[in-house]
Amino acid sequence: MKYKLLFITCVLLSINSLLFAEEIETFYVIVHASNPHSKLTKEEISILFLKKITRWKETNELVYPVDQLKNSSLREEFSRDVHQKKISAIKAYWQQQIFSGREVPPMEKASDQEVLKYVEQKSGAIGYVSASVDIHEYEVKVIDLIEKE
Amino acid sequence: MMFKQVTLKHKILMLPCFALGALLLLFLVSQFFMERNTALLAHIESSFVPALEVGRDLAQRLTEIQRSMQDAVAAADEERLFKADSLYDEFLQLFERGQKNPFFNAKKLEQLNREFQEYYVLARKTSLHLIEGRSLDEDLIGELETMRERYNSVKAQLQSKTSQAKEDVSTSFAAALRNSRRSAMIMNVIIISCTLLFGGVSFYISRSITSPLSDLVKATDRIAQGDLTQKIVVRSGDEVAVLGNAMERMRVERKHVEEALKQAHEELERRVEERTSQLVEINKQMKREIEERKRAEKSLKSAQAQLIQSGKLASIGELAAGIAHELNQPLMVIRTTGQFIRRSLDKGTVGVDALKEHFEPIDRNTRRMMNIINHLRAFSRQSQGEFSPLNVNRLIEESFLMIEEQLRLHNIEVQKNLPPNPPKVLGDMNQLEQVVLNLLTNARDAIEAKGGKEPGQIEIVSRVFSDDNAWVEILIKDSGDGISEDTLENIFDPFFTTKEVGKGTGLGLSISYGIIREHQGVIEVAETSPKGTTFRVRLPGLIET
Repeated sequence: MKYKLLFITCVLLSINSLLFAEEIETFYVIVHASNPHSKLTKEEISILFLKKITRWKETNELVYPVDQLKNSSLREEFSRDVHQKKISAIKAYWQQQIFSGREVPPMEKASDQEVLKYVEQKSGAIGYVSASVDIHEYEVKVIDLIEKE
Repeated sequence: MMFKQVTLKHKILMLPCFALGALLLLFLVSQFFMERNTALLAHIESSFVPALEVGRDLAQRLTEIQRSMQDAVAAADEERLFKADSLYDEFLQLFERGQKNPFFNAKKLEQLNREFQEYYVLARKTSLHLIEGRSLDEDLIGELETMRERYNSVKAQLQSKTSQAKEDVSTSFAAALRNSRRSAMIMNVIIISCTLLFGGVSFYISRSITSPLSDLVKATDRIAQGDLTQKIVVRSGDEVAVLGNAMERMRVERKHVEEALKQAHEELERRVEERTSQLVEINKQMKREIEERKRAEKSLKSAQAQLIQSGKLASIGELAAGIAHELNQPLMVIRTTGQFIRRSLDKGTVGVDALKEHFEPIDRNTRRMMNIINHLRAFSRQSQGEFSPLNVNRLIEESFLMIEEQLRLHNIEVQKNLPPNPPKVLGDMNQLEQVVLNLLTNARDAIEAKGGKEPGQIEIVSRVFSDDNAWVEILIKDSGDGISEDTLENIFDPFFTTKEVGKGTGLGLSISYGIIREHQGVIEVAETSPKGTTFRVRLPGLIET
């Protein structure tokens, strides 16, 4: 029964993904205003969020990724789009990372405003917010998502 | 001064002592290194290996804890954390075990323990948070960070401990190996040096024993060949040296002795020469003396012979009257017979045959007279001193020829006790007759001196005195009045006489004594008393072979 549901969900999700494949981004990836980077591929962003690279290429500053809550739809979308993985997989990845003492997962913020506030304040921070949010009130920089070269 | 001598005993003992010493040294060195190695290995076994084990176990437990927590979070099952708890307990127990290990620094271990406990508390807490699905807010992230730090620190510490233990083990092994190599090397060095030293010492000892001995042998050879000039020197300072010194003393002594001997020999030679010359001188002197003595003896002998002769002549003189009687008796017979024949011729009453018969006593008596005179002449002749075997009985009979008639006239009875065939004696008839005659004359005089009316008696005995005919004895016993004690001492002295002056010369017995001594005989007074005296003459018998 459980597996069937899982299977159905997977099928539905895949259909969903196929349906929204060519859609415009529903989120912005933002960094601190002082960050020299303006373009990043999804893979690079994924690596940064999984803390596989802990320092910015240009500034050699520490990377502070900030995540949305686990149950937010944005996060789910982000995971699917950037990590190309489900949230649970990312979660499992982080559990492993935590208990093997390698890395700690990125901080989670409850809302886009909080994310924006954090990124605005923390130099080296990187986050993502919903595209619907007015980001002009905050001094953050939006990263252009570029395709893999 | 004390002088320590290295004797042969010491030298001989030196080798085994040295070998023992070397062995002991080897033993001690090997013991020392082995003990060090043993200590190292024991240290490895007692601390490093358990430390490694504990480190490994702790790391394993840590991984397991981490995994079980991960599982619990993944499954969102709080129950599963109990497994982590039990693992935590095991971890703590292991810790306690580790604390006893001398390898671990207790303080550092304490820190590790504390950090681990902090880690665990945090991990437990965060696990629960994660299970509950709490969002990763700032606090939780901070906690996670702390937990991560603690975990990494604990892990790093464990790793460092383990690697340190490993390092220490390898270091200890290396040290042990180094020790073994060093001990092997040192022992090799000791063995080689001991062998070299041993060889050297053996060579030295054998040299020090044999070389003085060969020196001694050479020295003895030299001495045996008679070379005493070279000194014997043995400087080994042992028994051989003592022997050498003794031999040296012997050599010196022998040398002295030989020198002394040489000197003595020379002295002796000199003295012999001296004495020889003295002896030659003495010999010459002695020869002269002997010649003188011979001359003296000769003159003595002639004097003696003359004495005997004069004694004889004296006794003839003494006998003269007796001889006159001796001759008178046959003369009387001749005269009477002559007268009878003349008367018968005058009367013409006698025939030729009867006349012839009457001439017979004349003839006989004339012969007797001739006999006496001849004997007297022979007797008075000086003796030649030549000895010949003679019969004692005949000697006595011949002696009586000159004195028989006298004795008869003196009214002395003669009793002859002469056994036939007595052993012969070697002697001079003439001289011995003089002795017998002298003794008979003395007996006659003794009897005459006694006087008295009774006829005197003379007994003459000849006999063998000993069993083997070695001695012949003549005893002449008279019935006189004996010899007084005072006189007895002097009777054989010359010119001693008890007779009246003009009657005796005092030489009779003295001459007799000399004659008998010359015949190796004995003349003595056998017995004397107022009843008479017995003279004894002993002469050595002629033993017929």
